[in-house]
Amino acid sequence: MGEQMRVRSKVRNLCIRALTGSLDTNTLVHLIRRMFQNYDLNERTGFPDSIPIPMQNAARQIVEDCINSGRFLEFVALLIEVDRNGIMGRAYRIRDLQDIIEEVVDLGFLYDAERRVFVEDAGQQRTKNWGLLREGDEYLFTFLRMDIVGNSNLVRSYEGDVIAHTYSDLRSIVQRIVENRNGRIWSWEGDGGVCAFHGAGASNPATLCAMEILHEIFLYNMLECPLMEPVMVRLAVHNGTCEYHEVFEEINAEVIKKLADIESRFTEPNSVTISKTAHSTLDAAITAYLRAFQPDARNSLYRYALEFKS
Amino acid sequence: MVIHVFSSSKKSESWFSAFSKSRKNTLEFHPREEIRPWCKKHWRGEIVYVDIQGLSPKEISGLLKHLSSLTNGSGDRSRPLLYAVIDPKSEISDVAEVFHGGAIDYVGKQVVSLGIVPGRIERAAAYAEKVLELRDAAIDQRESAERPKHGQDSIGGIALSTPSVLIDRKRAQAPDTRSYRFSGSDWDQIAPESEYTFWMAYVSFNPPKEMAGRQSTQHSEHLLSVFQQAMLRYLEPAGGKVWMWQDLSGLVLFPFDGQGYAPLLAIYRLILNYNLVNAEDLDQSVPIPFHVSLDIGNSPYRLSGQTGTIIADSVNFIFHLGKKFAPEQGLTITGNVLHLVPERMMPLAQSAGKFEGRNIYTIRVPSPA
Repeated sequence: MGEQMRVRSKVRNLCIRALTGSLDTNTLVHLIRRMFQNYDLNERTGFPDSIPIPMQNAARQIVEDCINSGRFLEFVALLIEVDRNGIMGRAYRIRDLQDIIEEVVDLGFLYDAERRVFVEDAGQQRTKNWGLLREGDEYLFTFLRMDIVGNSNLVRSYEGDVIAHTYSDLRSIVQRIVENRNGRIWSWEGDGGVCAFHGAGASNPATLCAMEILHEIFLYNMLECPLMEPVMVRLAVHNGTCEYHEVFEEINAEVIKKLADIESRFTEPNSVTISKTAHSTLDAAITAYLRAFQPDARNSLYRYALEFKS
Repeated sequence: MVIHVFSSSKKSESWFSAFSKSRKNTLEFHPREEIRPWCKKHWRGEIVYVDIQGLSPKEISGLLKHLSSLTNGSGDRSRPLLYAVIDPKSEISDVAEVFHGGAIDYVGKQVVSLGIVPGRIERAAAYAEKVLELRDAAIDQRESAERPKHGQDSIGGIALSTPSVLIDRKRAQAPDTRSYRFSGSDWDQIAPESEYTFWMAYVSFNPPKEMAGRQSTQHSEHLLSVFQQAMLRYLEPAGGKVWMWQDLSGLVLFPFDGQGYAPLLAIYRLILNYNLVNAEDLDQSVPIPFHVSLDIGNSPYRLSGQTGTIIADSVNFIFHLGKKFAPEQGLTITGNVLHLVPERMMPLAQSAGKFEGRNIYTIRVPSPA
C-alpha cells in the first residue's frame, strides 16, 4: 500500500459521478482489475454474489479503495486513458473528466501525456517520490553520487562553522541543479549525498546535472569558497532498478553499492565517472564530452572533467 | 570478542576450547557451506575463521577471493571482512598468498594440534587494525596531495595548463570614468533618449559554414531561437536585455552602476556551460561555438527596435571588436571591464593585444578534457 494522499471530497464525488455516469458495473470491474488484479467487488462492498451491486455503491467503493491504497493518481490517469483510447476497442466518454483533472492539478500534479502518469508540479511541491512512487515497488532510476574529497582532512583543518557554511553552500548548489532537472536528493550526509532521477530517460538529466555541478563548484571555488583551498568533489552516475523506500537507509540495492564503488574507487577528484549502463542510454549530444577509460579488466567507464587548454 | 567459525569438521569446537573458556569471548559455529549467505545477510564486522580442509585448490582460491571482496559499508575507507584461514592438514603450500589476499590469520596443522589460544586471535585482530590504520594513513596522504591551494597554478581547483602571467591592473590603461553616466542597478531609472553607461555584450552564435549548406533555413532559425532563449536564461537574471540583433549576432545591454560584476559572471557562466547549452538546448553532438565580447561604454538609450539611427562610439567599437577581433569561442573583454574583474579571477585574464588603440584581454574558460 502506498502513502495515502489528501483527496478533497469534491474530487471523490466527481470521480464517483464520473464512473456512474460513464460505465456499467462489469466494465468498471474490468477496468479496476487493471490496477488490482484480483479485485473482488462483492467482497469489498459486502454484497453477496446473488445480489446486483448498485452502481453508486460500486463506484464509491472503487474510488475509496484507490485513495486508501495511495493509487488515486494512477486511477485518474486510467480514466484519462479510457476516455482517449476506450476499452477493448469500444469508445467511452468519461463524464466530468476535465473537472477531475483540474482538481488533481490543484493538488499539485501535472499529467505527463507521454508517460501517461501524473507527476508532481515541481513549481508547487517536491517530494522524494515525485508523488508517484509506491513504497517497496521496484523502479528504474539513475543515481548521482557526490562526495567531497578529503572530508576528514578539511574538518580537521578548519573551524566547524566555516566547514558547515561551505558544505551548506555545496548542498544548495547540488539541490538547485538537481531539482531544476526534476531530480531529488535522497540522502545527504554533510560531505556528500545521493540524488535520484526516475524513469527510462533519466541518465541524460543525471549526467547533465553532474556536469553542471562540476562547473558550479569550479565557479564557487574561484569566487566564493571561504577555505584557503578549493573544495574538490567526486561525482558518479549509474543506473539500474531498485525498490523505492522513503527511508534511504532501507534501500539495499546493488545499483547503489556499485554507484558508491564507482565513485570511491574509480573517480578522480574534480571529475564525473559514468557507468557503462548509464552511458549506453545517453544522447549523443552528451556522450560527445565523455572519455572512455578502463580502470580494470571488469569495468568500462566514462569520464567527464574540465581543463584549461593552452 | 565475537568470533564466527565456519567448518565442516566435528573437531572444530575442540580447536577453540581454550578461547571459549574466556568469558570475554563468544564463539559461534556454522557449517562451512553457509559462509557466503551468512556473510551477505548477517555479517556486522565480526572476525570470521574458515576451515578450508576438503576443498580443492580452485575452491579455496574462489572462497578466499569472495571473502576478500566483502566490505562493511562503501567507499575506500569501508571496513573489509576480517577473515582467517584454518588449514588443519597444512594443505596450502604458499601461506603468504593467504595474507596477500587479505586474510588476518593463518592457522596451520601445528597450531590446530596445540589449540587456538585467545592471545592469538587478539594478536590477529591487532594486526588487522594496524593494516587498516596504514591504509587510512595512505588515503589521508593521497587526499592531502590532492588538495591544491588557491593560486596561480590552479584556479577553482583546475590546474592551469600554462602558468598565468598576472596582469597588473594598476599599470593597465585605467578607464576614463569621468564620462560615465551610471544607469543604476536595474532598468527602472533608464529612460529613452538619455545617455547612459552600460555593460555592452556583443554575442555571436557561430555555426560552422558547412552547417548552413546541410540544414534548412527553418532549422537554422530554430537553432538560433533556441540559442537566444538559452542565452537569456543566463543573462536576464543579471539585467541583460537584447538591444540589437541581426542574423547570428547582437548586442545585449546591462545596466551599469559602477559596482559589482554580475554581468561578467553571467556571461562567464554561459560560456563555461557552452557544452550544456549545446547538449541540452541545441541537441548538437558537434557543438556550435559562440563568443561574447564585453565592454563598458556610453550610448544614448532607445527601446529595442528603434535603434537604427543611434550614433555612439562605444556601440561601433563593440561591434567591430566582436566581428573583427574576437575568436569564435570564448570571452573577450576590454580594459574598462578588466578593472572590475574580481581579484580571484584575475589569473585567468590574458593580454590579447590592442584593437583600435585599446587594450584587449581574454578570460580563460575551462572546457571538457
